Amino acid sequence: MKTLALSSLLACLLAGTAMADNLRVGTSADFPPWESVNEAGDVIGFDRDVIDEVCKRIEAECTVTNQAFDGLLPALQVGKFDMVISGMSITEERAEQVDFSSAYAEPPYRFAVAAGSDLAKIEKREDLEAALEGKVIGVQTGSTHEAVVRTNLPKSEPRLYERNEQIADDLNAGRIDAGLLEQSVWEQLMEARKDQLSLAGPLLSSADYAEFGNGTAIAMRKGSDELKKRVDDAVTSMLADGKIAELSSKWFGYDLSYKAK
Amino acid sequence: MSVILTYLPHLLQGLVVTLQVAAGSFVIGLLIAVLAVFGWNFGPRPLRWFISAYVTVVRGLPELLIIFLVFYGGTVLLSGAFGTYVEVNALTAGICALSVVSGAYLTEILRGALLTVPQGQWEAATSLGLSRMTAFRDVVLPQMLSYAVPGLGNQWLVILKESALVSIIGLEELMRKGVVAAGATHSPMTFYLTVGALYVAITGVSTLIIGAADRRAARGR
Repeated sequence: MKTLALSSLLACLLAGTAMADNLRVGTSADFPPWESVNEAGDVIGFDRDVIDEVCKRIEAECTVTNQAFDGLLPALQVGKFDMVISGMSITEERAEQVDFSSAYAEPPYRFAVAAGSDLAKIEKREDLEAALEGKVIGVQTGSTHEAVVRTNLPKSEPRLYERNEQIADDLNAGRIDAGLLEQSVWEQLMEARKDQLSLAGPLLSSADYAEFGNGTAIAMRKGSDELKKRVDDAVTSMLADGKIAELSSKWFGYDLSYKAK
Repeated sequence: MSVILTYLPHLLQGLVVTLQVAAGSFVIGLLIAVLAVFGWNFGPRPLRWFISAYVTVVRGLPELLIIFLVFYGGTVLLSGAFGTYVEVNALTAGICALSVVSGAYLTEILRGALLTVPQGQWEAATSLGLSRMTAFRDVVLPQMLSYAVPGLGNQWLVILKESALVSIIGLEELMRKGVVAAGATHSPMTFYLTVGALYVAITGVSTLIIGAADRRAARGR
């Protein structure tokens, strides 16, 4: 009995050391094009391709598991996953619980207006800011976008919404003049609302408005410094050699790779 | 329509997980409840306090919190005990957590049903020379369960829907499969309605079975 207990303990320890290069990755595959599940049941998307490439570069075997977003960080903390990649923005609140790799992406943001509005013709950011003076801009409650409007467009009035489709519908109904959301979110909203909305002005990033935050990154357990260093190196090299840009064009049709500031 | 057919196998896999979680936690919960009611009636005073505390605390906590406690708390405890990460199977953890929850509610249902069994049944049984234990097992318990059928049926329907919460610990049950399919296809309404129809189908069949069980249990009353 004692031998059995000892040998199983030993097996556990050995499995523990062997697992160093056998990494478990968690993602919530319900947010295309970042990540979703295809007909065969596989997790696909931008993040999937990014993490596959990261694992290749750090020479690790990775298994990707699909789990609801709200359970991802707790699962990471108790050790069910070694990494989480799920279009997750770096925020101070999350950074207190987990460590983030360097940012690999920064989704572009965009203003949108009702189709046919004169604002849709404006191409430059400065012109759009001027034209939005005194106008009402729809943003999501508690989002980084709210801070962007309050700080950078002080003469416009932000209106807060719980859900992004409410912004789209109120734009169409004429209750607000413009909305500010992630570009890929607009694209999805416009799929169901053909000819109702137009994008306005250029793609925006934290280079335009710092309040947009610090980009999207891979989360790891606090204290996994050795893994974090390898992942950071992989992300940096993928940004440098254009791999992220390539994957981004494949899934989004534009480049959202993170630009160092 | 074709999008539904493409993702229907996924939804049906989810349905199987939903039924496993619901059935597992209902059966284990019922065992807990029968033991709790038994202990309530025959156990020493500390045991009665314990049962009373269990029922009060669990009924006062959100199910989601209990699921988190059992799964993550369990993982932390086991990992601490073995000194390395111990994988707690999500299905087992989900069933355990919901068993704890349903056990508390079922205990209350059975206690209510027990009060409905006329006192004369106890007296008749003991006057025939049956021990209190035998009287409980052979005379009172069957009658208690027959009175409890509507309440048990109700709790079964509640558990069926609570099972949607276990997706948080990584189980891909019906609701989660629906959310994933809705995300992948950009047609949320289609999939939420399909998932809704599947839930109504299983609850509908359940209601029929509960009705039949109730009529059968009421025979001779």
